[in-house]
Amino acid sequence: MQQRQVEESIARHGDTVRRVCFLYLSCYADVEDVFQETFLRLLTRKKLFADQEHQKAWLIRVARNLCTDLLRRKKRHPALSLEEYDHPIPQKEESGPVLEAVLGLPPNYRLAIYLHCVEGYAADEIAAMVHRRPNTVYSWLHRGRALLRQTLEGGTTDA
Amino acid sequence: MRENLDEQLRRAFAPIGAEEPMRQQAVRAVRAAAPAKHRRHKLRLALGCLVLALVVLAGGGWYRYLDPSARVVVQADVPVELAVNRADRVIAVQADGSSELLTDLDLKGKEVGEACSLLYAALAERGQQPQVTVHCNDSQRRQQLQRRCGQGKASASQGSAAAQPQGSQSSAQKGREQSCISSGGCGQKTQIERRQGHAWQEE
Repeated sequence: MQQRQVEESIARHGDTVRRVCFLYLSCYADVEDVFQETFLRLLTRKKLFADQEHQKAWLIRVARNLCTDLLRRKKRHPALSLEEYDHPIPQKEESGPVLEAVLGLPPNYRLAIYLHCVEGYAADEIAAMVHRRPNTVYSWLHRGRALLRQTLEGGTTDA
Repeated sequence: MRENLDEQLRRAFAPIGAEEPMRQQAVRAVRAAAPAKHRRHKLRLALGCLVLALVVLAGGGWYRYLDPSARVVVQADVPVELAVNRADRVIAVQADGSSELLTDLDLKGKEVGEACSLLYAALAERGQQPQVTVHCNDSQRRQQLQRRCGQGKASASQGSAAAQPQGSQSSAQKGREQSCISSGGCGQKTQIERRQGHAWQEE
């Protein structure tokens, strides 16, 4: 892909990729690395995309795979460098508990909930992205919602 | 409740986005990686051109190898015609009517002198006295081929019972061969082709 097209893609889909990274990674340096690597992969891609949606779905899939690879690597080699630090994510006061609740979900539930509720993808499309059966994604969505409601309602009641 | 949850999630994710430094860093990385990609493309292009050139050269060489530059006709009861390439190798053999003689002989790919020698020996076994005609536009090459065929004939004669020393051909035979040499060029159709009315075919 051409450099100019990748730069356009960073402007257009940067937020989505960043949010996918946010769902998986807590370290800001890791997020930066994965964000950058995702678009470098786009630069080296030879096949053309059918449209912008196709490109966006591809970016989400690549970002998700890079995040899971990174987490797996860290789990295998649990070394923490001094440079690694948690970068505070800018949050509005009213969205704080919701994000916390989302981050408390299992990783697959998080991604499914985000892609379905925020990005508007159907379960079939999510299933194609993560190479799972649609029924599995439906389960993730159902259980994720239930857990979210439980957490949020419990939090509200407690407050 | 469901719409409420979706709305809450959308609002929660709204402030999260790629920060400007993160975008700039990615753009810088992409710009830095792009020239390397171009270099790779150029390298691949150069490699492709090289492979293409090699294929063309190999194809040209193969074509030149298969292109008959001369024809040697061995006149006997059954005339045998040998197509010879620039490297003096026999690339095709054709006999008029019967190929009985050629079933025992594998002349393709052999040097023309050796092929003639084998052919003469086979004809001598059948009690035939062959004559040679060389067709080629280049007179120097024609003479050279004639000489080689003569050597082949001499060596075959030495091997046979009715052996003759090299260069001891009768003057009448020499005269016949000389007349044959001047009988035509590569572009002309040979007797076999004229008789059969079809183009030269590889065996």
